[in-house]
Amino acid sequence: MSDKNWQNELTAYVDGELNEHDRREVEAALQRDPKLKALEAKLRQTVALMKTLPAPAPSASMKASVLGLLEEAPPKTSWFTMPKLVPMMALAAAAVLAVVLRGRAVEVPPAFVEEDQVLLAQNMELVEDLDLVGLTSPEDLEVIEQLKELEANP
Amino acid sequence: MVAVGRGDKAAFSVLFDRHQAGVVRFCGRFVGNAARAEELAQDVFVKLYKSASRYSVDAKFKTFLYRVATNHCLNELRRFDEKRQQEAKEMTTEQNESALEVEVSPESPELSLAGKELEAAVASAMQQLSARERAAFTMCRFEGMAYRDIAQALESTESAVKSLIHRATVTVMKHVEAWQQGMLPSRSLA
Repeated sequence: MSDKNWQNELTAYVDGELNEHDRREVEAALQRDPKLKALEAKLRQTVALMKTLPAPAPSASMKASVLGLLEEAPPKTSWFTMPKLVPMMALAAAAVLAVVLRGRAVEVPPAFVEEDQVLLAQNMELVEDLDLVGLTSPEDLEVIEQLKELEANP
Repeated sequence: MVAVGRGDKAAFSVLFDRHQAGVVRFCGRFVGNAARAEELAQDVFVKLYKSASRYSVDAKFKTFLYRVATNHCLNELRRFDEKRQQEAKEMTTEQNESALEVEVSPESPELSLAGKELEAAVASAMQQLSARERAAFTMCRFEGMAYRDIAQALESTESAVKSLIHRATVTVMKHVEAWQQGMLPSRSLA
């Protein structure tokens, strides 16, 4: 591997993130290349400087503020914790949806209701997610997009 | 976290105490605004509480937490960019530069002038990073997270994270060098 490629490995080397083989290769390259050695020193200095920077510290009142916000936003029970209730909710919601969408309170043909039930069932997970985040702000939409990935790739 | 999903506020309190400082630090570094850090961190914890029942017991909590925090901060940056574009039409150049000044934590009055300038140099460098570079750099340098955990938080690979952190560190290194040589205007993010 060329020295240029070892440059790209240097930060990981400084961070102790290389495997044993690559670490030895980088150390050998450092021995024979003064420029690489100089870059390593600069990177180490930069990493060390980052540890000296002051960080914003939380105020003493932050916890009380967050707990106050939680009172207004209790956790929603998920689809997974209510397996028995969800089908009932889906059926009820489907019936309401069928009536609302068609603008009729009576005589909705059973076939249409069944179609709506299927549609709602197909999208039930999305409905659950919408309910979960409460849609109080636009960024909640992004949370919904991420929820499945969060579950799949914890 | 499972207990939090059942509405257990005592369990939430334990998680909050353990990660509060880290999330405030992360948010402040990520958006480059110490004054907004606590507000953003509050939002992150509220979102965490609301979505606790979604948490998988197999998940590593810290990566889950920082994924939520990263998404929230990215949204904040987008909102800030939109707001800045709107304000740019109305503000003079001088006012605009003033709005972009680095905000130094009021909790650090003892911070030396050199420290403030270093802080500004780092903030200036971070403004030039992509969102993913900034997130990876912040998690690595200020939260001490391993590349593997950062990869999970960013839904990426360790190899990609290695590149992100290397590019970001080199960028910051160059800004710090320029500052040390007196070539970088201090207290400006532009």
